[in-house]
Amino acid sequence: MSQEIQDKMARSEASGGAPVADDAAPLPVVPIVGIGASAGGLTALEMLLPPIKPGSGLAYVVIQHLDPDHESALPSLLERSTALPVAVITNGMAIEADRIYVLPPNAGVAIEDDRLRLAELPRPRGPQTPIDGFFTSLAEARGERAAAVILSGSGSDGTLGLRAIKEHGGLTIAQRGAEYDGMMRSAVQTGMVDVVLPVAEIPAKLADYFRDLDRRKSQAEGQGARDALTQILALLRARTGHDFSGYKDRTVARRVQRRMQVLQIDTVATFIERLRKDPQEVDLLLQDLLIGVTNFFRDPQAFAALEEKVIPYLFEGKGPNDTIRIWVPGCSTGEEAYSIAILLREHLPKGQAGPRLQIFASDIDEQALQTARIGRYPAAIAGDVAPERLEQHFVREDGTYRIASDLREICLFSAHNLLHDAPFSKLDLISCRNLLIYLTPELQNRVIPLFHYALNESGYLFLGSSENLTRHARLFSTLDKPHRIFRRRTPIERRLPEFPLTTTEGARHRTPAAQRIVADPDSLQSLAERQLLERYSPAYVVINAEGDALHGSGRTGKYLELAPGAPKIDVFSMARQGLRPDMRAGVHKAASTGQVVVQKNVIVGTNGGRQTIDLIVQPLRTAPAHDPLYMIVFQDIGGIKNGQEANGAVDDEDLESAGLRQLETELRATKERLQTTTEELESTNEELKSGNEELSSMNEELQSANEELETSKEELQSINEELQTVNAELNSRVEDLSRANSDIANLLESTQIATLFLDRDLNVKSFTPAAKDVFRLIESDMGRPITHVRACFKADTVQDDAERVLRTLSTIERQIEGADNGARYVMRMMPYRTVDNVIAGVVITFVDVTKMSAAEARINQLTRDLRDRIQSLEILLDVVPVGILILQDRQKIDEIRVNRYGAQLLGHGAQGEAGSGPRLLSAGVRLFQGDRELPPDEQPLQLSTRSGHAVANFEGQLLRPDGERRDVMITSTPLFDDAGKTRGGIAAIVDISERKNAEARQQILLYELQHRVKNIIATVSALANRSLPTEGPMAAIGEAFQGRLRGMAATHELLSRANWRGAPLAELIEAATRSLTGFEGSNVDVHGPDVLMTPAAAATLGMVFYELATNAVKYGALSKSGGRVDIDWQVTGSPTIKTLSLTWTESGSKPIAPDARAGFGMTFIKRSIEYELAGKADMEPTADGLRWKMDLPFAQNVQHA
Amino acid sequence: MPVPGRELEGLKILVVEDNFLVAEYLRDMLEDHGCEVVGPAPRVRLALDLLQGESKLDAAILDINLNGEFCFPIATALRAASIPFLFLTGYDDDTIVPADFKSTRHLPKPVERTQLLEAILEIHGQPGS
Repeated sequence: MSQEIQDKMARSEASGGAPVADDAAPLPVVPIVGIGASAGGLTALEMLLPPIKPGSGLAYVVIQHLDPDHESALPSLLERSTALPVAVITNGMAIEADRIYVLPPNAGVAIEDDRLRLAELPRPRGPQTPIDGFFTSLAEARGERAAAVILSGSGSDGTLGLRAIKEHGGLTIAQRGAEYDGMMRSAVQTGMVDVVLPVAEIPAKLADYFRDLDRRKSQAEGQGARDALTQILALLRARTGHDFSGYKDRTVARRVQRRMQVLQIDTVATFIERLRKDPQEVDLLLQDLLIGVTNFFRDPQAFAALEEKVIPYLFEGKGPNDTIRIWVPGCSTGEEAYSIAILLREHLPKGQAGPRLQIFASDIDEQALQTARIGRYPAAIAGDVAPERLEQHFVREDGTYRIASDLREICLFSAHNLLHDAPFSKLDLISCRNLLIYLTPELQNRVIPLFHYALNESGYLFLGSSENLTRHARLFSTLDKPHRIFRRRTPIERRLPEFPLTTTEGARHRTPAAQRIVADPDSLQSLAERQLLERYSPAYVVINAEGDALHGSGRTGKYLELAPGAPKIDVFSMARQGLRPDMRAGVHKAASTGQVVVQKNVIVGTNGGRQTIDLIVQPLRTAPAHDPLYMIVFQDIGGIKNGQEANGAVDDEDLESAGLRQLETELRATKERLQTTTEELESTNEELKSGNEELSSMNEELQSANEELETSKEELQSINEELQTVNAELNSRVEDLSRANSDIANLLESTQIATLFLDRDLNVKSFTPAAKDVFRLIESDMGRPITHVRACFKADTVQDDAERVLRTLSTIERQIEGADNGARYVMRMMPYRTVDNVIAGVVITFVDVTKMSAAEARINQLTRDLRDRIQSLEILLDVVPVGILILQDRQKIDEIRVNRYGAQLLGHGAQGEAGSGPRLLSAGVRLFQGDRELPPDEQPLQLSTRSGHAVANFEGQLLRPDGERRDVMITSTPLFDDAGKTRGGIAAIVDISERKNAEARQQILLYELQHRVKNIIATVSALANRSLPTEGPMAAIGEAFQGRLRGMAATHELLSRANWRGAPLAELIEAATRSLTGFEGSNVDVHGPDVLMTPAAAATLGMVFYELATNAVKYGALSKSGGRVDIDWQVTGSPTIKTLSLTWTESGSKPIAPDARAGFGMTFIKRSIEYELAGKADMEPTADGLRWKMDLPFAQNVQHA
Repeated sequence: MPVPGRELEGLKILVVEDNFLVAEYLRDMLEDHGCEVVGPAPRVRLALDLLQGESKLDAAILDINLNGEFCFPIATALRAASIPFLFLTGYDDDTIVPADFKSTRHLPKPVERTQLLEAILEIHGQPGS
């Protein structure tokens, strides 16, 4: 195992040097520092560059992840931070010290022939790994004279490049405290980072490192170094369990040197102290030791030869149930194994029938194995793998290539210590190209037989280009010497290889000790002891638990002999006849019990004779960590008895000896059988062990697959949890959405507003149910352009409007009229903004304003009507010949408005023009009743306003400002408010002075009339007196005439007293009867309701009653005492046709002769009533007088009120 | 040549007068002069009834004021029937008489006999005046 590592180191040493030999005088090869950065890199660079002092002798190449589409200002920005010149890399640029080179965007860079070569980054574009690419190229070009710095950035670019740098002996640094530490962590995790520093300290570290590089190389020579190495290896073994003691000193020393350079430690002693104090440093040293270098298709011609000469024959003779088994020991990061897998796959494409493919790839470097299992390699492998193969067998992932999964399935990677563990077996091909050169020849000689054992008959062995098999010509035949392809020969005997192969440390330690013993002068004791050992002590051999002879005393010839065939150190195979079973048994027992085992009287067949010995197996005490050792002592008992003797001794006793002989023969046969069985058992054992090894490695593979699955499972679980959370969130969002949606739907429905949503192309996105009134929309119209939908109105402008809204983001409003129903709408278009304020379409709303329009129209109409009415009223107020006073607000008692007539009447010039409605009265109204002036609050308007009652027919005098007085009549009425309280009043004021004048005049006329009539009657009476005889027989005529005149005068007196309105019937009758110079105290009774007769009727009736009365006085009841006259009347008839019925009853007199009453009186009474009053009158004589009955129609004769 | 005292012989004359005494006085007077008096009627209605019933009237005497009514409806009917008439009036008031009848003969009350006779003969000679 240690050999393996040692050889690895040797290999890296071989390729890690600069183009010149390591310890030649250094040519000026400029060390190059590659600096890789991504996110946050600018900040880091701005801190990194200032401390770089000129004269450090280093060239700096800056690889910053840049946007491939844009120019980068990085070079100019960096110039500000440094004194060194900054240049943008161009193709073929030379590399000079103390310069900073910056990678331009969209390019990768490599070092070729000491120059910088630009390459366009491969397509397709995606995250690239320019840092990995450059670092890898830098490592290969400069080896130790390279350093790689990882600054701030996320991702993992640079990790693989750092590995390459470290493999080739360069220095790797990562930034501590980077803003984005993804890249740094990725690198540190792989153990590829030598040191993590704050960015400002990095330049100093680089300068020191390279300055001391050469100086330190010269150290680590000499003996002291070797001792130091031993100590270091001990520490390594103690900490890591790996034994590097079989490795070349030089290789270990190189690695130690490198670590010291990194830590900047000058002396090895200090380094050892450091290792002791800081166990992590031991781990880091181990990492360094474990670094292996391997490529795809290393030595392409060799692989071509393999492909041609070996691969096809692997398939020969194998059917679908068979397996092709291949082992790649020392596979490191797996490139070699995958290369072979590719070749296999190319020979047997996937899907075709053929044998199963199995490649066991092993190494002790667990991390390398991990990398190999993942199978991801930097883009730089494109240099080693043909594009078709890249295409076919790799998957491009983020700037890396990953081996296709079917190839990964072919390869099983497991940890396997070639020198410690049993090999794989039954292999068709072993490819071991990284290993043998690191092994010492002794180990090589052990490994090759191992391979021989492991291979099938005619299996192939593929070695590295600097390895050969000269010593093992018997085991392998050469198939292709330049390309190191060998074929297994079938040996004469089948031999088990000797495994394990490691030497113990104890043994190694002992070697120097033994040397020491040889070198030092003998002491007496040691001399004597030696003699004793050599001469007198029995022969012995020291073996380990497996039976390998490690040390012998010599003189073991009697017991052990060279086995036929190749020499082996296996003591059992060297045991002479008869010894092996007992020896094996003894060793076995000693091993299990740890005690001395003595077997007495073991007979060893030797040189034709027999030697009886005591076989002693003594466990040797060694340090617990070391392999247990045993000393087998061959204690002779007696000497060699020859066979004959042995046999002769038996002759004497015939039967006994014959029996004995037989027994012996049987025993021998049995022993031989046992031997054979044992051998077979051993071989079976070994097969089992190697089968076990296979299983083990498969187990490991499965375990690692299991771990991967576990990881995947955990990942899946966490993804699941994330998804669940997201799901829950989404669910709640969906709920919110649903709710919001239904809110919107309800809102739109409840507002009954027709709404359309259009997208940016004016297609209908959605619409409310009410929109169907405006557009003939059906559900399938969703998604169709709005222009395809028929509208229920003239929609010529809709599209233009919508486009304008989208363009100018304005709002457009229009009034439209529905074609069918005459409804009116206000159409409003607005841009549709999303919550992110992005214009996503147009919203159109239609608000039904029909009712509103109708209402508006109605309101307009009503307003017009109202205006007309008001106008009419105002005109009326102005036109009416009555003065109107309006007190609108009792709070403003002085604001009385008056119409035009009123203003004229009051004599006030009210303000305002004619026709503008009632004007404000400019002064108070002065009213008088008689001589008393009425204060304003007693005037009718104010009275009504205060009391809430109307005032009717108030008469008074108005005093006009010009001094004129007018008689006026005022009617006032209050105005009420909605609560029923008085709020003001209105008064109508009429000029009644004319009427008053008329009344006055009338009165005068009446007086005049009365006076006149009286005078006329008096004059006529006087004339009659003159003209008519007063004596003699003719005197009666005159008296009668005068009497009638007097009657008429009385009637007219009555009428004038009543102002010619009429005469009450009762008074009429009394006047007629009283005018007679008749009896006082005569019994005249007048009964009847009050009836007012018209003047005409009164005149007639007056004369009628005068006649009646005269007749009664002359001839009737009043002509003597005891007679009476009863005059009764009543109103009869229906209410509409009333009749005044009157009776004149004379009684208490003698009956009259019918013809005595004839004459003027009777005729006159009857005829007058008939002719003038349209009534009826009849007289009938009674026993003691007479009775007149009269019926007078009311209508004509009775005065209405 | 009318016989003195019989000037109105053979004439039928309507008398419309609301005052009984005056109406009787007129009748007496007219009948004294040989005519036949139709009526007298105190009111318009009665007068019109009489007018309708009479087939042949030669003249009419109308009191303008008939107890609150005016006699002009009778005048209109008389004119339509081409019967001459005259007014008796207590008014000396032109304004009472409608335009149609302003040219109609009218006599003041109390009326004098001979004045009345003359007037009647005059209008009778000119029917329709």
